Amino acid sequence: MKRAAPRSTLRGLIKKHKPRLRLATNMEFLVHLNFLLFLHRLAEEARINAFESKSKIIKLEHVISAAKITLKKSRG
Amino acid sequence: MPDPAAAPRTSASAGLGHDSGVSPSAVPRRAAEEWARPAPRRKHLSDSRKQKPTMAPDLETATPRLLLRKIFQTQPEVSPVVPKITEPWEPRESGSETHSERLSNTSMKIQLPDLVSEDTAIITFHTSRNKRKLSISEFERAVDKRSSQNLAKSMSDDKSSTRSLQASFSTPVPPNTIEKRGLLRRPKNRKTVNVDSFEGGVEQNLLQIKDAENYLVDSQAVSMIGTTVMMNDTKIALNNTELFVQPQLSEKSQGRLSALEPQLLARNVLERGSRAFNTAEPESQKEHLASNVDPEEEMVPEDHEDSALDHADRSGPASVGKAGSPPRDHQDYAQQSSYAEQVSGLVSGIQKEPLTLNVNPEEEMVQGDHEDSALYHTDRSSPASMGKAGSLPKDQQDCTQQSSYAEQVSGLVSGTFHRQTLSTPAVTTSRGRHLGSLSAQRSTRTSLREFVAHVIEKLNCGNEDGITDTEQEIVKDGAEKEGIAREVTELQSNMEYSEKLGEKLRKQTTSHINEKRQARTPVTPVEEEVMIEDAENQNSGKDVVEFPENAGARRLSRQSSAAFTRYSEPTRKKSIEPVEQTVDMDDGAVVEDTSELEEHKTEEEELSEDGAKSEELSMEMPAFVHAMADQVSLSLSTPRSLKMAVPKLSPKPPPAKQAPKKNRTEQRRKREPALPSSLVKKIFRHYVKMPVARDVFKVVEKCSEQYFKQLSNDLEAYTKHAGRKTVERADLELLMRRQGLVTDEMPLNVLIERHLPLEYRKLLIPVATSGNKVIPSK
Repeated sequence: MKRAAPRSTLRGLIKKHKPRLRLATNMEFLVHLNFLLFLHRLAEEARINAFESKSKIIKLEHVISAAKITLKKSRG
Repeated sequence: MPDPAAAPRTSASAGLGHDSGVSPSAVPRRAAEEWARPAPRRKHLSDSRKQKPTMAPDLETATPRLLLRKIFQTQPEVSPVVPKITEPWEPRESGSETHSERLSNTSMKIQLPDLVSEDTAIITFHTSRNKRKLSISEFERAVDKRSSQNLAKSMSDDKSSTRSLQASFSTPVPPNTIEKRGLLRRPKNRKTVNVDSFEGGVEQNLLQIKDAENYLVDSQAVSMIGTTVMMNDTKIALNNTELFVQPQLSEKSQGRLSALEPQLLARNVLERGSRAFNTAEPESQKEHLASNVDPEEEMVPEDHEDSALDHADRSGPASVGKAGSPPRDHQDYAQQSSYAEQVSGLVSGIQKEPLTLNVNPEEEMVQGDHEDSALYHTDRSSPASMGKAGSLPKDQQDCTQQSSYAEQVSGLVSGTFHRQTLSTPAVTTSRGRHLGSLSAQRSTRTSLREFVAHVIEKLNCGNEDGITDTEQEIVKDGAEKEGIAREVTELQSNMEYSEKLGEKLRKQTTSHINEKRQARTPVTPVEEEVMIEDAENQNSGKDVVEFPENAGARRLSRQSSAAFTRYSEPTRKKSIEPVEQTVDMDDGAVVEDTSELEEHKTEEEELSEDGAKSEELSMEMPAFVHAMADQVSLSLSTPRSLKMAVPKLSPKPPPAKQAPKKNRTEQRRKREPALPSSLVKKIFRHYVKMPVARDVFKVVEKCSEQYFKQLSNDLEAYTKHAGRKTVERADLELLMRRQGLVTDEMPLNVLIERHLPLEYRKLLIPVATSGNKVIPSK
């Protein structure tokens, strides 16, 4: 069910933000991995929030608060 | 000859006879084989000799020469297969016959009906083969046909046999040696059938690409596929061509936008005001037409201007993009572009910026109104913007608001022509036009504009009579227009409010207006405009109030809102809701504005509950108008010339159409560097394992965008710190370590193995295999 990592899209994305920066070969996969883990953390946080508010559906508020925390964490 | 020949013959025949005794068909087979050998060989002599002894009784009469001749003659025509088939039959069938007799018979038969039998045999043989291979692609059939034809031509037996064998195996036979006798018959069928069967075969082959037998067919199929792919590419290329169109427009629009923001604002206001008028018209019809016209009208123009300004600021870029596409840039280019933008993209923005109209052409309005009203027919957008733009620079003091609003309304349809003409103080003439145009047109927008234009003109002219007349006309026209302008509900609500205000203003302050007109030209036109507008849009008051807020000119809006609120309490209440809605529809900034507006409203509502609204209006209007005028004049430093309007009217509609297309393609382009949303959705859903609301994904997308920004920043920092220009694996590992994803207990490779599919794992983690091999090799 997993889809292929969009290599060219990732490259384009990084280039859009940092045109001068280059990517080594196959580094897109690590970037993709990073992105997956980021989404994973975001999803976890959102799930925890939803649990705490005792709702069976993940709603906007849960995700927004989760996003704030996760973005802070993944600043490096 | 015969004796020595006979001797070996006899021996041979004896031997043969033995053999024949063992296998009756052996001799004929051997004979056939020997015959099948290509080219005349002397072996045939031996064959003949072999045969001869058996055929001794017959051959005794026939000389060896004759026999040989027969053999030679028959050889090239005889096919190895046929004799095999035919000969055994006979000997088997008639066992009593002597071998020699059979042989002779067969040979004779072979010799005589060589062509016939062979052909038939061959044909039968091939047909059977063909039948077997009907399912195979057409190519094979053709090959078979060719081979069969070749056989029929009686090439060397071996060749034909091999060919037939090859055909049977469905291997493509090189047609080099095949003669083309039979092709004359077939090609027609082939061509006709080839296409269909070939296509079918192609499809089959596509499915079974690995079929070795059909590799030829596959190649053909591939060629077909290639052509189709080319088609797709061309299509894509064609689609892509659109993309190139947009950026130009966007660039142009952007350039215009930056240069002409004030103009744009004005235009936006105008447009919106016009739209508001349009929308308000229908509503106004439903509700009071004349009652609220005066106050609303006065209010409306102001509000419109304010809102227009606000909107113009916000929607400037957007509208620019939309309306900027029409390349009408001259002095009023900005105005026009802004206006066109407004028109093109307007529905959403219109509500907010009816007032913006007022801002632009306060001065122009007066003059441009005439034009606008007259022009409404053709180009609402272009002329409106033109008129509005033109009007503003003209009369800053005079009801710029009014004029702008009216211009917008009327100008939307009329276009630049009118503006230019109207620029000249030919009020009377313009009025006439307006009136005529008013009555003529049925379009909501135009009607509104006409009304406003008329009013403005009259106001500007400073003719009391004219004003009253215009008011009357306005009322009439407003009625007409109201019926027409039911298209845009939001605008209608806004318009209604403005109408109400205008109506109120009108009724209550006609006298005031007249007086004020004399005293302050700017005031009256504004008031009149408001009135006019109100007449058209009864409930547009709210919109009017809100519009100013939305527009950049919040001060104006506040002032206007204050004035308007006083003027139109009842209308406010009614229109507040729709206005709020409309406001909410617009950007968030609008919401903020509306809140401000509401505050103003509440404050003023309390104050102005008496019927002395008109007086207040009249009092406030002038002040407000002045303030608006001042601000407008300050903000709008654009030229008021109407040159732009005229020639650009016609191209406006097509550029308007192109603009949305270009916007779409531009948007598509801009969005391309972003990750596919479907991928993000899938991944998130997979990780969350819970039902997710739909609006959550938007947040997730934004989040991921933000994440990528952070990511690129971090990677750049790390790479620079290492003195490199390329991001390496170590940089990414460091990033993950700092993020807390990679720890001493959890190395990177483990994460790779967990989350990435095998193919990527192989690329990232070198694997050592036997033989000192490392994959991937360094």
